[in-house]
Amino acid sequence: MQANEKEPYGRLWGYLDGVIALGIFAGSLAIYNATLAPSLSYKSGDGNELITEAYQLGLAHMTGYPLYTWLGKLFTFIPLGDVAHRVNLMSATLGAAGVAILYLAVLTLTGTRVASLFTAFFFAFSLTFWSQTGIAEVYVPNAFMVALMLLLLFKWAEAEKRPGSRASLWYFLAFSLVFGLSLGTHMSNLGFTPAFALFVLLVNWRVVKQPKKLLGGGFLFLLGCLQFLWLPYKASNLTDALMVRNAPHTWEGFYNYTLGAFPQMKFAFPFWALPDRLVIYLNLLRQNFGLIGMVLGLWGMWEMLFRRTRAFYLLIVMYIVHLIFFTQYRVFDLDVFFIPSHLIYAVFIGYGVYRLLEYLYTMTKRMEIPRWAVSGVVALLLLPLVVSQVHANYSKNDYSKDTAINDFYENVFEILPEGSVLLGRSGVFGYDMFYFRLVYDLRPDVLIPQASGQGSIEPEVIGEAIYTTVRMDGGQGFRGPQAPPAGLLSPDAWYIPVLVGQSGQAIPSGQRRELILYRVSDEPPELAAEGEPQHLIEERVGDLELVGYDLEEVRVGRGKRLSLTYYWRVTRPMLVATFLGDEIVEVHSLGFGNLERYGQELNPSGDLILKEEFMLVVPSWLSPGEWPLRVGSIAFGGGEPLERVIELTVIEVTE
Amino acid sequence: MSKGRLFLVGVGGALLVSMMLLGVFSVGVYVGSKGWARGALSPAEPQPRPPAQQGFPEQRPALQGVVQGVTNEGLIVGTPQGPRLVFVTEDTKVREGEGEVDPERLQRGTPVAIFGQFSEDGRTLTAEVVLILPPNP
Repeated sequence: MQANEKEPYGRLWGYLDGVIALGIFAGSLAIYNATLAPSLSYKSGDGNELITEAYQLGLAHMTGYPLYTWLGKLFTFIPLGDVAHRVNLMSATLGAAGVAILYLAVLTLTGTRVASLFTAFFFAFSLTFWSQTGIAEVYVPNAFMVALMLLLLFKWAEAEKRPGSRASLWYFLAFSLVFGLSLGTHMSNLGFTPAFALFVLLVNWRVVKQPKKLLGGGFLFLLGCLQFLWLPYKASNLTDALMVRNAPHTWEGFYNYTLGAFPQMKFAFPFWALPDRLVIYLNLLRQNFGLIGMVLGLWGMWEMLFRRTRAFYLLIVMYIVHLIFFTQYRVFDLDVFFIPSHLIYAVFIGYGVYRLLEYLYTMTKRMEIPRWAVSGVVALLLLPLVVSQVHANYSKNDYSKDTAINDFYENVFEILPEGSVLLGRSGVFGYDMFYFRLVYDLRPDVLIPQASGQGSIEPEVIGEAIYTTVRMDGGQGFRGPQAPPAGLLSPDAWYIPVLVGQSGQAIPSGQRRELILYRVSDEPPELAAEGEPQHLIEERVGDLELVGYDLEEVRVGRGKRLSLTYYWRVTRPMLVATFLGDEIVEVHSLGFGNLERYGQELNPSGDLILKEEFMLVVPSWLSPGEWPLRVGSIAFGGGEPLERVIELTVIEVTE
Repeated sequence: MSKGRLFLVGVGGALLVSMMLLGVFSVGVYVGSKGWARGALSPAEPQPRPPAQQGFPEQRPALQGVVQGVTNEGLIVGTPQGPRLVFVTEDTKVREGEGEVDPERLQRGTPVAIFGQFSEDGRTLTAEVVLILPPNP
């Protein structure tokens, strides 16, 4: 072997590096915390379920995520905000810790603080990783585990170069345990096995002759895997129809829930689609690291091949396995699945920077320029890359105003009549509603059949007031994840809006799901206004004319609701947006989806003045003070996106 | 350099060269079939805007954003949550206003609203209708 292969993997960490790692942790955490979602969020489809299952120590969707669930439970004990906020905080904390560990891993590999610091921050504020640090999801905790495994392997390789070192054994055992545990944050980590095995053999193939070490490692790996006993233990708690069908009660169910999960997504593309799939990946890589980062990473790969061949094989095999698997993965939000490969690519970038520094040191040595000056200049040159990451990605990943779900459902549970039935989405995606029942046991008198997976409902319930947060008159209404209990709803039912939360384009981070509470009725709504509005306006708002409005109170607490009625003279279907100041607080289609049917079935005569009566949830993140209440219209299929906005009155928002 | 190390470096080098060739080949195939102008290589900033719904008054789009790229399977749509893949089938209709238009109209930077079906697990979206929205002012 070449001389530099015999060099230790960097130097032992000093006190200073511990302080720097802590500083990275604190700095990253501060920014992640500033952009953290303080409540449930639609940013992730699974996050609300993961929060709820963590709190009640239940069983999450496939592949179960036991470690995630248990760690999440620990975070629910932090006395800060509500339970959702606390589990979101786990992503921020483990994200910051993962970034600090990445610093130590790259430092172990290169021995260069500038390169390691740059790598840590460049990855920390990359688009996709940062996007997951503000919400409850598995991807950031999993990145933490991957970073920890890399660090332990590098430290083990370093210790292997010191004959008789006890540290070698401990690092190996620790790695084995963490590897087993990491399957509880993402099962795909199992795909790293060939890379880990190859690295171990390349560093010291004589490990195969050390049964104690091998057996110890194997035992601890299995110990980590034992977390999956949680699955059959909790299988009876499942309520989601898809999960129940594959419940891990049996060996077959256990396989379907873990290694065999989501078969329709795996290797879903034919071979000829490979170029397209790779272009998609390259596009995502560029979005995260830019062209400069991509080139640095590629250069780092080549340099590492010649100078740290074993580490190169570890990283490149991990990287390739991950790419092969996920470029062939048929999933909607593909970007987040590449976070581990982005992390590995970041290590290559760090190595590229390290080699760049080494070349510069050599070139400037003859000119007697001190190394610290070269490092300083390079650090100054790299700083804009990190700053531009923060600048470009901050607003995209700022979920600090994402309180829409909590604001909406807290009001829903306040206004529902006693003994009513509340419907919504089922299964994993219904936890925006189930959370309030399963975590806080809000309004136990209100029946939420989907929270307990009830496929049918007792006949005596029918006749009670039925409310829903999802219209069930569309094509998807009576099948799939949103199916209500059989026989509960008439296909001809009307959906009358009662409460409107911040939704659609109105949510700061841009989630699109509607937050509207409908009362289900056999009778049509009173869309045709009969009386005069309290406040006459008679002004054009785009193609509409706002005849007037009713407003019960102009003083409202944050997170509470305004009772609002619009009176429109309708010319064509449009969207209506309500503003408080410049903030859009709701967007809805005129008539809340009832207008066309109303026109067809009730055939209102003459000049229809459309009456829209609803309660509007005032976002809790609005600061107390006076906010102009404004309304605007948005054209369907043409014209200006927001044709005109007019101010109605001023609302005083109080604490 | 020992034989063993030479072997490792050789295999690793071949691997890297293969990876780079595959990457260049993929980009070449992509650019050759779809051109630079519609490429997914130049991500546009997401420009969300309210949906255009002529012909779909009772339904809200499942997704809206700006086309970042066109692949054989479908579209890469830039959304505030990041790029999203939308699968397009032979049955998918592309509409602008009230009329159906040639799918070739879908180019990078085109604001679109996607109407379609999520799979049962909610993780994939297959477009039934892609509605081209007017450009942002």
